[in-house]
Amino acid sequence: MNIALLFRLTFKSILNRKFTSGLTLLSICLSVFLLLSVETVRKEAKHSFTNTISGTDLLVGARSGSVQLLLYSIFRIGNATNNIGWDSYQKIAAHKSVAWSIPISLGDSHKGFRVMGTTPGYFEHYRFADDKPLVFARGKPFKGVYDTVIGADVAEELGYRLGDELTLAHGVYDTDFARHDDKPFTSVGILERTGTPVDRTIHVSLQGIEALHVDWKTGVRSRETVGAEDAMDMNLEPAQITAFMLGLHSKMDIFRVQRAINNYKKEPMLAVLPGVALGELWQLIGVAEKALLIIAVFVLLNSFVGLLTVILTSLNERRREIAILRSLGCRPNQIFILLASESMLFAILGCVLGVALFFISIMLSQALMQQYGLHIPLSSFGSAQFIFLAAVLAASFLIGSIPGYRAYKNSLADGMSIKL
Amino acid sequence: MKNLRFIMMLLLFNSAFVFSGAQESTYKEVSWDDLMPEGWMPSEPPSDAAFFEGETLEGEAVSLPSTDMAPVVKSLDKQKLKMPGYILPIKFSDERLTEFLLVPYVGACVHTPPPPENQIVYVSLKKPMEMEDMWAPVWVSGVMNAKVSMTELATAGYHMTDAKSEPYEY
Amino acid sequence: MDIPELAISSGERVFIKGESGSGKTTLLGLIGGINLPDQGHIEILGKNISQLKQSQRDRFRADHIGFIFQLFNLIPYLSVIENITLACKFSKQRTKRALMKSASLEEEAHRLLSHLQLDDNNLLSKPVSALSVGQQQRVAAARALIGSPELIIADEPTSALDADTREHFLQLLLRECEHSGSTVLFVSHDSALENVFDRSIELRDVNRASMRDAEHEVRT
Repeated sequence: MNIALLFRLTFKSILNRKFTSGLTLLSICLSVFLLLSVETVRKEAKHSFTNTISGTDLLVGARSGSVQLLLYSIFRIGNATNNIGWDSYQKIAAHKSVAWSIPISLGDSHKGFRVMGTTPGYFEHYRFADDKPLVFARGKPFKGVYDTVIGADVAEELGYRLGDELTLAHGVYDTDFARHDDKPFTSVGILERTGTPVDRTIHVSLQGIEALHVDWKTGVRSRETVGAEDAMDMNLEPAQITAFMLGLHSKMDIFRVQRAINNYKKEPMLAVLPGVALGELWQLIGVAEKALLIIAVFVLLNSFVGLLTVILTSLNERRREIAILRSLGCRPNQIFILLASESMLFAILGCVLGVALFFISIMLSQALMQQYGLHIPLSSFGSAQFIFLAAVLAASFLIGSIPGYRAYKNSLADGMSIKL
Repeated sequence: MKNLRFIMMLLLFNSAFVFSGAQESTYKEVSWDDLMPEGWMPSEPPSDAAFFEGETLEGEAVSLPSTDMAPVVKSLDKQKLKMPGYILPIKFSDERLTEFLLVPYVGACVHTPPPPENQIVYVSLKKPMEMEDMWAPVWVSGVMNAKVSMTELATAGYHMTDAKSEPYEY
Repeated sequence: MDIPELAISSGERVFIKGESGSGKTTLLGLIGGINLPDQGHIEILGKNISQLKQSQRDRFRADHIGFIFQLFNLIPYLSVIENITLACKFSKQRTKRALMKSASLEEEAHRLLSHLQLDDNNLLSKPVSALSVGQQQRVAAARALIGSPELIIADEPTSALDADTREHFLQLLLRECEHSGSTVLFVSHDSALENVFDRSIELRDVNRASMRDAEHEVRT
């Protein structure tokens, strides 16, 4: 009964100092929120990234860095520096060690979503997460030159259905003076959600990409434009692609094929094992991750120092109140609990508010996160976060012991008389 | 009576030894050399230029590499083995590693020429594991499959299944 | 402080006269069980409190003694009624006794307040800082009285009040103490209030240490 009484006294005491209490609480709430967010974003980013590609033995692009290749070809972050010749691709794809290959061509966009040219084999061979294949929610792969298959987010955010027309833009940013408006595309397929950048991609055939750029050979739209119909009759075999994925018959061949591609004299290319490139990506990010976490912890410590200051400052004013309690029979160790619990109460409230803020912000920022290929579900609250909260509470008790102890000692020394 | 007691003690003592010994020798430790058959010498692979072309840049015809993969040591098939090496990640499940290639040295994918097929082990882990430091050496123990040719279900070469990996301590 | 002997009977209303420095603070601390004497013993209600452990003394104080101070008696973040009932929260005995007189602690608090002529409900719902000093002292008195502790110790409770209020307060306080049969120790430097009490003690006369100090003063 007495503990409950002490907590009630603490609670009323805090309520009485609404302004300072409110600020201190806000500070703790924000620190907890920051700590939780940093950990979640870190975990989910890693999860999203590792889930994006599976089952591909080699990823090949023009010679650049392996992390860069991974980023632009799979995650659609950044751009390629160069393209690969179509004949180089064909030569390699024809080799007997290759089981399947998927060429991709990037460079265009539509209302913020990237356009990717590829073959129908993409829908057959591409895997993500635990070797999950792509599934069509509606429709089927493209067949015609101006057919397109769109990802789940594209359909949802832009409200597209089968049969809708899309005008693609030249370049990664969609502005109306660089649109291929003479050659609109029709959506013939919509993919089911994957939680990967596929959802935010507009897939067309390689021929489609070629048709688009038939009159852009000089880098600018030529005066004599070629109509959509006429373009279809032209030779639409691509001259270049951006990158391609390879699946081999035997994993044992991976190194030999990789070496051969890297040393291919006719064209400078880079072949990487996606798993290895991912590992390198994590190493790069790893340092930043740890730094962020350390900063978040320091922010929290800062809040605690603020809390400590507030409580210690109030201690002087409360000596009279403590003397009164002593006269009523309150024991010195109960005085200790009274003061120490103040810090814990702030921490508990701060955690509750911080967690609430955390969930609210996840809900509100879903769209923003998907732009970066992140997928953070509301259920993203794992053991790490619980451990953080427990640590916050433990720390608050330690912090609270300081004013608690001082009050304890004061109460013994002061007796019941404080001359004010 | 006393003799009986003595014999019991002896038996207990020995069985303790046998059990602990058995635990340790469940997985036989092998080295990378053991994966190459006696007397087989790795030959210099044809230049990379010839891999796709069938001829060097200068126009010399080169016979395409034969389809014979480097041979495996058949006696290692179905054995419980333990060996050291470096990890090249192949497959993840929820940020945890489930399959990888085990190679004898770091940078196997960078060096020319790459290791022959019998110096690469394709490992399938029993339980997915966190990847801490990608470049750290590990001990991998599991059931080795040594197949000469590929089937529907199995790759050719060395494939270790039911494996677990632990850090390599010096 | 050096008191060879001081005896007070149950139910007595004693006026203790002491200037500051005469040792009244120490005396109250000793009787209240806050401090322990270096030598000798203190017996209250048949119990030798100087032999009890600190927690036992604290419990004793909660059960049997009610205090009224000169100023700042009340806890600012509790309501008037909460301030009064707080005394019972530390003592089961006092709670029991209070509940014999009223159905709930809050009711008992109201009852005592009305005896002390403080029953304006508007006033009672205000924060304690909004009450006048006289009103605050009466609330403090109610707190000291609730649950009928055997001993009431009042340390200069009227010194901050004006002359009219002083007499009135004293009247109400002593009448309530009589109702509950409590012993009263009233410490003050104001002799004008002496005559309402059964007995009057000059602390200087009882405390040898202050006599010695006085001698020293006289000499220098």
